[in-house]
Amino acid sequence: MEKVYYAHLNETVYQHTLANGLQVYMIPKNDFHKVFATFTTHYGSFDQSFISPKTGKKVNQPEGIAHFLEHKMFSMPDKTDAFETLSKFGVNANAYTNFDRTSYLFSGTKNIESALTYLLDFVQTPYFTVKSVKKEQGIIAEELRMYADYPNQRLFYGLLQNLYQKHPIHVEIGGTVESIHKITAKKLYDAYETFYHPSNMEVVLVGNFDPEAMVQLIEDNQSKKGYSKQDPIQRFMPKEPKAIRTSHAEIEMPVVMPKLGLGVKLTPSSGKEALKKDIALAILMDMYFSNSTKNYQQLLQSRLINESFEYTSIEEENAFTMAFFGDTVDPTLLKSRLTQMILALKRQKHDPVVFERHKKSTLGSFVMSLNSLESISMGFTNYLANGVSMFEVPEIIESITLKDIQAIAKDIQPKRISSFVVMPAKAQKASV
Amino acid sequence: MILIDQTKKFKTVLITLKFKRVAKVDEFAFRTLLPSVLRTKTNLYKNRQQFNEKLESLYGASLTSNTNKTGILSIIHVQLKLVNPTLALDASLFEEGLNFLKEYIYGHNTFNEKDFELEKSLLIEEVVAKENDKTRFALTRLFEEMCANELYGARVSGTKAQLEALTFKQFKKMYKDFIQKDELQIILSGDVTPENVALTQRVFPNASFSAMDFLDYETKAVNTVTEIVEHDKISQTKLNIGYRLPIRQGDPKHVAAVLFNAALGGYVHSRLFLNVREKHSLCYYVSSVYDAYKGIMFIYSGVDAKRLDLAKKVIDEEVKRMCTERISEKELALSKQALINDLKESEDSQGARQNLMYIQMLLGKTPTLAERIEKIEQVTPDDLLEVGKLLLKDTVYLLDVER
Repeated sequence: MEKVYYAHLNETVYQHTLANGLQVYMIPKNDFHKVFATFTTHYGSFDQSFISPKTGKKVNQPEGIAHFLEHKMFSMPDKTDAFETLSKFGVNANAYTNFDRTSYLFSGTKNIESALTYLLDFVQTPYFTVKSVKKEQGIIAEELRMYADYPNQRLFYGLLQNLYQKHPIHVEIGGTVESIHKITAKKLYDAYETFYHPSNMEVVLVGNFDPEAMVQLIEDNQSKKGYSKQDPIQRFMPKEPKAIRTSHAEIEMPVVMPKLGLGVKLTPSSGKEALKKDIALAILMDMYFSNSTKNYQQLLQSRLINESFEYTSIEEENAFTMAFFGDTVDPTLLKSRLTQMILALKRQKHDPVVFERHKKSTLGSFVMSLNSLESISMGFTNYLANGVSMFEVPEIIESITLKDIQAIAKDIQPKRISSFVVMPAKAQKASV
Repeated sequence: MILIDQTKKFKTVLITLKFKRVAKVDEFAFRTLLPSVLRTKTNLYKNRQQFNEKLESLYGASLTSNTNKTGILSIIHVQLKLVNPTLALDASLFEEGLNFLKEYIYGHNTFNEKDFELEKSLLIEEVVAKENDKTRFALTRLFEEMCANELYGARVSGTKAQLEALTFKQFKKMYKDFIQKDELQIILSGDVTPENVALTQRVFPNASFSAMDFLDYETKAVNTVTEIVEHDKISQTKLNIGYRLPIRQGDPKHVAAVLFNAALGGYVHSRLFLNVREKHSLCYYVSSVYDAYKGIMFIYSGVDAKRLDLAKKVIDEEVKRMCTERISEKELALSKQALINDLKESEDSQGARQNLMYIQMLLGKTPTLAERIEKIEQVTPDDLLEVGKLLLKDTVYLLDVER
C-alpha cells in the first residue's frame, strides 16, 4: 500500500491496486464520526458506443442507459432492494450518474465494515428482468418529467445542444422518455459486463477508519469473486467538429422572466493539462465577470442581470466550454453586451494585481472545499478523471501564469459563441 | 456572551452573527432586503466592487447572509467563512475578517437611494423568480392556503407588493431601529484561540444571549379538509398535503413525533417511499417533513398526472395505517437508527453544529449527544400511536398539469 502525506494541507492518501485491477484510495480523518464511501465505475452517459469484451463486436446503446443501469443495480436476485438493505445498516446510501462515471455511495457512523462489504457485493451483483426493467421505466420517466420542468436544466442542455453537433455532452444524462423505453435487460447486461469490471472501477474512502483493516476487507471480498483479467475498454466517441451547430435557439416555458444562456466552445485538452486550463479559465472569468468587476457592475447597473447571473467552465472529455447563465429582462441586449465583453478578453492587457488576487481567492476556496468529507470524496474522484490527486491541486493553481490566462482568452472565436433563451409562456391558472 | 465551538476538525473558521427579534409580517421585506443594501457601500468601501475586492483578498472569504423565520423569531444570519488562518499562514486574517464584518453591519453613516432602489428591484426579481421552481412554489402555496392569517403562512422574503411599497425613508428608519433593538448573538467555530474570542468581544461589545420561548403556538380548529387545485404548464403534478400536529419542541411527545415522521416519510426505508414510489412507481420523490417549532407536518410529492387519484389514495392509506396500527419494533428500530446516524453525522458539519448550538441556547437546554440518543432509544410503538391520534389533515394543495 502506498502512502502519501501532503504536509501543507495535513492530509494523507493511501493507495492500493488489487490483483483484479480495482483501485483503492483511502483518506483517513480520525476526528470525524463519519465514513464516506464511494464505489465508482468509469461509465457514464458518454459511453453509448463500445466494443463488447465478450463478443468483440461493436455495441450501440440507447441514451440514458448508464443512469438506468444505476437505478437497476439496486434490485437484488432475492427480490430485496439494496438501498433498503443499506438503510438497515443505519447508513445513508445514494448513487449518481455523470457524463463519465457512475458512483454508488454511502455515509454512516456505524456498521461501516458490513455496509462496505455490502456495497461491493450489490454493485457486483447484476440482476435485471423484463418485469423489473418495465417498472423502472415508470419511475425514471417521472424523474425525467420532473427535470423537464426545471428551466435551468433546459437552459443548460439547450446551450450545449447549440454548441455541440455530435458529442454526447448535449444528451441529457437520464436520456429521454422515448430512449429509456428502448432499454432492455439484455442491453443492461451488455453494459454491465463491459463497464463494471473492477479494472474500470475505484473505491474511495474518506473519514474515520483504519486503512490497513479496510484494504484487507476489500482484498478478501474481491479475491473470492474470481474476476479474470479484462483488457482496457474500447469506447467510441463521435468526432466533434470545431464549428458549433447553431448560434441561437429559443424555447418557451412557464418562467416569469426570460433566461439567457451564452456559451463559447473552446479547444479541449486532456489529463492534467485540461485541468490546468479549466482552472485558468475559471480565474479568467473571475477576473472579468465576478461581482468585483466593472463588467458585472455595468450589467447590473443597466439592469440587464440580477442575482441569478452566474458563469462556469464545463470541462469534460473532448469538450471545453465557457458558459454564462442568468435571468434578464432583455436577452437580446444582454447577449450583445456579454458577447462584446467576451470578445474584448482577446485583446485585453491583464492586470497582474487582479490576477494575483483571484489566484489567492481560488486557492482559498479550494482549501475551504476540503471541509466536508463529501466534497473531499467527490472532488477526489473528479480530479482522478484528469489523472490528478486532489491534494496536488494547490500546486497546479500556483503554477498558473498570466500567459495561461492569455492563451485561453486567445482561443475565444466569435463563430463559436452561441446563445439559448427560455422565454416566458403564459400559463393558465385557475382555482377550483 | 459569545458561543464558541472550538475544534481543529475543519479547514475553516466561521464567524456568525445572528440578529433576532420577534417576527412581524410588515418587517419581512425590510429584513430580507437589508443584507443586500449593506453590501452596496460602507464608510470604508465606497462601492460594491471595492467591498467584494476586499473579500477576494481575504483568501476568497465568503460572506453569506439570509433572513429566515424560526418559530416566531425573525433572524438575520450573517456569516463570514475564512480559511483557517494557520493554513493560510496569515495571522491577521481573523482580525481583518472581524473588522470587515463590523464595517459591513455598522459602517453606514449614509445610504445611497440609487443603490437602495437597485437592490430593491433585484430582490423583487428574485422573489418573483422563485415561482420557477414548481416544487418549492407549490409548497409555498400550501402554507399560504393552510396557514392563511397565521404568521407561518406569510412569505418570509416579503411579497412583491410589500417590497415595492418599501420607501428609502422607511428603510433608513428601520435600519436605525434594527441597530438599536435587534439582539446580536455571535457564534465562533473552528480552530479559534482565546485571543480570537477576546478580540471578538472588543469588536462587538454589544453581543449578548438570551433564551426565550420562540415556539409558534398559533393554530386553528380544523373541521373539514380544504382542497385547492391550481394549474400550470408543467409536466408533473405536485401533490402537497398539510396536517396539524400539535406537538412542539420540548413537548414530552416531541421525540416520538420526530420518529413518527421518520417512519412515515423521512427516509428511504419509510412507508411513503416504499409504497408510493417503489411499490406503485407513482412518483420519483415523496417525503414528509415535521416542523416542531410550529406543530405541523406536511407531505410533498411530484406524481404522474394520469395516476393522481391512486397517489392520493395510497398516501391516505399509509397515513391512516400509521395512525391506527401499531408500528413494528423492527420498523421503529430502523427509524431510530437513521435518526441517530443523522445526529452523529451532523457533528461533522461545521454549519450544523452552529445551528444546533444556537437552538439549544435559545431553548435554554443543552443536552449532550448521548442524552439525545437515549431519548430516541426510549420511544415505543405505542408512543407513535399517541402521536398519530393528534394528526389532523388540514389542506391538500395541488399544482396540476393543464388538463
